[in-house]
Amino acid sequence: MYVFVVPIPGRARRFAITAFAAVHVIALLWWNFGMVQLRPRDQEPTQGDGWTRMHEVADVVDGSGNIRGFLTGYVRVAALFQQWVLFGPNAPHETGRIEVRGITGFDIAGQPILDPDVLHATEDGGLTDETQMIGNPPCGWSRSDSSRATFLRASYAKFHASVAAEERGVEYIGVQFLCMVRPIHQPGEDPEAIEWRTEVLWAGPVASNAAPSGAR
Amino acid sequence: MIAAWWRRFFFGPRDVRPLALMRIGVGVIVTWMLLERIAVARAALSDEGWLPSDAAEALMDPWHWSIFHTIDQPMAIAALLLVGGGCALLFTAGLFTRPAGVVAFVILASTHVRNPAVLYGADSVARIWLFYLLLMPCGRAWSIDAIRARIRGGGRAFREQPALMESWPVRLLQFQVALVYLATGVSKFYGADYHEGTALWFALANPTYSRFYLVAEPVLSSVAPVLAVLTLVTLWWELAFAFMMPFRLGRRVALSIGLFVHGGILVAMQIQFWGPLMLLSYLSFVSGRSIHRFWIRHLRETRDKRWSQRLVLRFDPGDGSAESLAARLQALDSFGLIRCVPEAGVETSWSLASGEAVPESEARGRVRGVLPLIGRLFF
Repeated sequence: MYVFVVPIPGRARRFAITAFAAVHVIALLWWNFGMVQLRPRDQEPTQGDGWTRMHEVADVVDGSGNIRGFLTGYVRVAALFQQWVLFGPNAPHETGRIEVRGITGFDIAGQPILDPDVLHATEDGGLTDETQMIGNPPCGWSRSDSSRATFLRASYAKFHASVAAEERGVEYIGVQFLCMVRPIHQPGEDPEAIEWRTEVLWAGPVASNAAPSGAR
Repeated sequence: MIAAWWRRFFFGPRDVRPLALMRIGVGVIVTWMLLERIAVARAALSDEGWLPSDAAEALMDPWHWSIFHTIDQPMAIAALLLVGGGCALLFTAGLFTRPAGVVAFVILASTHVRNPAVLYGADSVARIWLFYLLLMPCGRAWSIDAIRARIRGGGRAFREQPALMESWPVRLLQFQVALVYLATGVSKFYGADYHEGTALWFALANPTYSRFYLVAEPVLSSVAPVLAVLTLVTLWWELAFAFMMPFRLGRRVALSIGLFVHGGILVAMQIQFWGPLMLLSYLSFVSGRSIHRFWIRHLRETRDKRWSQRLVLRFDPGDGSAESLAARLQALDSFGLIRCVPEAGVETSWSLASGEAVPESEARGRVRGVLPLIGRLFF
């Protein structure tokens, strides 16, 4: 009748479904709250929290007590099916206080691979389609200092530098991954009076296929 | 006693229609999510993109698995996304509902594992809602599968008997919805922005999120105190949501505030599918009766507006093609506009309830004009 429930008759079937539901509910509670307690309070939440927590769970509970081991098994089975029903606290508890405009790459020697003017020319700062899909920099991985985020930024910068160099037929030896940032104004402040500043999100060589720095 | 209560609560019958409506909404969104990724298949999901498969695998737990770990050609990835989008569309329409949904789920989840850096909350919610819908026979109502079943059954058992299901998948979904709010509420509770009442301000004053930043920004300062109140309402509503659900009044209040909050997010902020997906989940708290009441009222209004008299089809039950036509009409006639009368030996004919004969071409024209879109596919 249902996808995963074999047609066990009557009471046995109800018992099987109830048992599944119990394990599922406990795992959900544990996933959502057990791990929150395990997370360092000063850790800046990012949009990558979901899969970061998966690692934390595996790291923290491996080899621990029976019930935890059992639930870890369930979480891992669920992970096998891509965390199908596990939804952790997704909303960052601190909202973004920095506005980010434009992400681009430059030849490290000073010759621009992507046009720096687009940073100032348009409202969206010349964001590419891929950039848009990455999410909102203020609470996304581009603002995080974690090694994972650094690795992702490097991969992203490397790809864009390659595409831009290929389109323009230029050689390159390295790239800086930049963005323009400024604090979001407080009530009563004039937003236009707050200056933008350039921030380097990642810099490094992109000419080789070696894993970029920051990978773990 | 407890066992009896549990049996009623967890295994009691439930009207499928609200979940069928949820299936249609979630299906549309999942279809869009899969098809829109075709445009970035190379950049976001292929080995030619910015996160090669081996790098993505190195980032993830080894238990994670994705079809796209084994397929790395951009064209093949795009083709697979197209298949996923097609299956999601079938799921939406309710044709081969469950197998189509399973394929769409596997492909959707595979995109999430292949590159989790391009996801936001709505991606996770869409995947999870789709999973719960796969546990339910949500294709039993408002679907092509349901129409086909009715045609096979000769149009019997229709209208008066809504499709039913066991409650347990809905209970799990309700628990998950409540947990989403509780978990995000607790997470927000630890943040200073929500206690200070500034969270909404920073969300709306940020051009990245704000849909009407240029229009709204000048007036934001003047409504800052209102935003502070709304921020606190949002925090406490999320924290209280799960505990209000068991009580009818609490449920109504919590869902009403949710409509307001998510409606506001939908209008004011650029967070594409988050609001619609959460609102769709509210259908799991809605009874089939309330949707039925709304639907019946709409039907009556439509019937009164368009049809002064019912159409009568007389046919010979021994005539295979005429009987088939009558069965299809019975199955599709949600409006109760057509009466099919089997009479041995008569020639197939159409008339109004008053007895006035109606030419077949005119009768078929009237039927096509009023049956839902799906009816047009069959006539």
